[in-house]
Amino acid sequence: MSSVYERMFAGGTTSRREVLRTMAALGIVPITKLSVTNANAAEPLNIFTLSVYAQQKLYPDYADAASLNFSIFGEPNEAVEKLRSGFRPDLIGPAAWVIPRLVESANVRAIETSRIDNWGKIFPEILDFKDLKVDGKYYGVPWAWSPVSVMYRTDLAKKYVGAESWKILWDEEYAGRLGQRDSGEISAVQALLVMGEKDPYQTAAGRMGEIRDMLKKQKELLRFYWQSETDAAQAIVSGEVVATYAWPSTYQIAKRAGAPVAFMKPKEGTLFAVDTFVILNDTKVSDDQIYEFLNAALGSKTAQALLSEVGLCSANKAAFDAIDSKTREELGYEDPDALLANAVALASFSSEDRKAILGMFEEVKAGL
Amino acid sequence: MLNSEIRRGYALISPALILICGMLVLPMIGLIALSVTTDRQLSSFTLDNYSRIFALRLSAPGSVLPFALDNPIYLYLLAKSLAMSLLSTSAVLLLAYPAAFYVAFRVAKNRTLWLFIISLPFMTSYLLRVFAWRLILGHNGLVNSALLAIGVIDAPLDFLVYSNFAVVLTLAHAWAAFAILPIYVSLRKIDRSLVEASIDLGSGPSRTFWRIIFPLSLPGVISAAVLVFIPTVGDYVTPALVGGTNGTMIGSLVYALFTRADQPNLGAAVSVTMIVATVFATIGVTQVLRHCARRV
Repeated sequence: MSSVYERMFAGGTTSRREVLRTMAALGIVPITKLSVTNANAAEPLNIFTLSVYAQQKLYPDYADAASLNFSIFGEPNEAVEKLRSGFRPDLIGPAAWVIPRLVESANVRAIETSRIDNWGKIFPEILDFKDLKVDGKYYGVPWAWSPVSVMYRTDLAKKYVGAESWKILWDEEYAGRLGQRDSGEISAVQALLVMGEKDPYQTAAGRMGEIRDMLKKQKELLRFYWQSETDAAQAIVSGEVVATYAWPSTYQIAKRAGAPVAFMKPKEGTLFAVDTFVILNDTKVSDDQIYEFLNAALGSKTAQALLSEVGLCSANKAAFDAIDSKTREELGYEDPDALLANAVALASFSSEDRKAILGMFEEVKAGL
Repeated sequence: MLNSEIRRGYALISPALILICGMLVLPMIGLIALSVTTDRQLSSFTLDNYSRIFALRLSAPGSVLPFALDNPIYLYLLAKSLAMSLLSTSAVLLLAYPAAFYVAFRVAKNRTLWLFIISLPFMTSYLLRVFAWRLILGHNGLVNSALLAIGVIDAPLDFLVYSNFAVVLTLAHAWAAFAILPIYVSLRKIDRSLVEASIDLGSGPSRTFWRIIFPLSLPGVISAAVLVFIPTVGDYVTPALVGGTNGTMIGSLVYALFTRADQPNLGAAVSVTMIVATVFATIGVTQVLRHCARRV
């Protein structure tokens, strides 16, 4: 029986060799990069950050915002782990309290503060934040901050309107209708504030037993521990929960959905978080590009975008104060200086306390 | 010296062998090495991680047992995870067997199409299927909305989601295809003349099923049980998404040890303990099923 090729090409001029040559050429072409690229085109900046910040519209001061490349982490410890396993973005956007861990375990470098034009305009309370510095050098550029607090339904928890308190997350009246962040450290800080501590990071070591009791009591009242703020927002909007620990961006989501919610200023003290950008070593892009982005992150248009899009505040005091007062009042930021002066920063516990709290939290979650 | 036949055999299986070594054996060796060392760099040998898991202390006076675990969380969550997996596996087998039986014995035409339709949902992402259950069982989900609309309930049923019930149900659905297919293959292999002989000799459908069909389908049932039981023990995603505050399983703890707690060596020790426990539990389950088959 004649071969397929012989039957195909009997009487024709095409040879098997020519067909194979053509097919090889067709195969090579798609894998060869044919696109014409501008030899001077900059590599896109790769930023590893929280989902709330992974939006190009938040960086209008950066000329090339459309080319920003975002990777998302859900939780800071997950981010540290990913960096350890070899992931190499150019910038990472952790909360400030993660910086000591990053410096210890990932390949990051100190900031050249002289290259940040608005460094002198950052809120002094934020610049003083201990976790930004390791061995006297700044490793994070603080660019955004926000109070973190409880979001609650004003129609379902009327007694807390005008009497806002962290105690709502321990209120047995709302058993099974409360939400909490899936974080031992954040739960412990709240418990210490409810216990009356003004400086929870200094006093945690002596009160571990009481913290455990508080966390156990709270666990029985919770509907869930949330890892994604969308879960918290959806639960509040549907009425599944009456109150939950939340970020301002979570509050924005719930408000836009039309839910009657308020973002507390608890009498025991508000917590606030500072978010930063940290530069990794071995970046694919130039330092000029990185510092251009960092300066843009502290720009005035970025400050406006942060507030209007996700309800967060710029660390650049001058830029933040320049935003119209009506917008700031609607979100409760009419006096950021007073807010920062009376708030407790979310910081890192000592390594011993952290280990104890995390172990305790997992035991509480397991029901032990 | 190996003869040419054996050499040819090894050559043929070498791609799969290399893959298994690279993807399974080497990572296992790495995991065991991590579990018996003090840090990520595997600096020095220690059994402290295992003693943390199994350490005992004297019980408080009046306790039933003289000793108690010093850190009960690890073995407690392991036992809970094994129990949840057993429950999920049982649920899967109870749901999958009738479906496989129907396709194997009752469907005459388009059997392949039936199998394709049964498998189709499982070609979607596992995560999406878990999310789908949240939509169905949620506070304003399909079930609660329907029951509220027809007036059966006055308020949404809270136990449907963020509960152990939700975890078992979601796991049962997520792994059903892995149970249906091996059971179906096993049922199809049964010689129909044996079934006919049983009926000819006067056995009713029930007796025929329990004395002929079920025992002969047991290899498929055991395969299905193993395929479902093993991965569900260490499942992390389903308890995290639908388990609520009581949904912590061993997988969640291993994740926490490797990330938040920054204790990878302890996490590795817990993982190895989980693997060993799962192997023994799997052997136990298969032995029980085989024993049941012999008794039937």
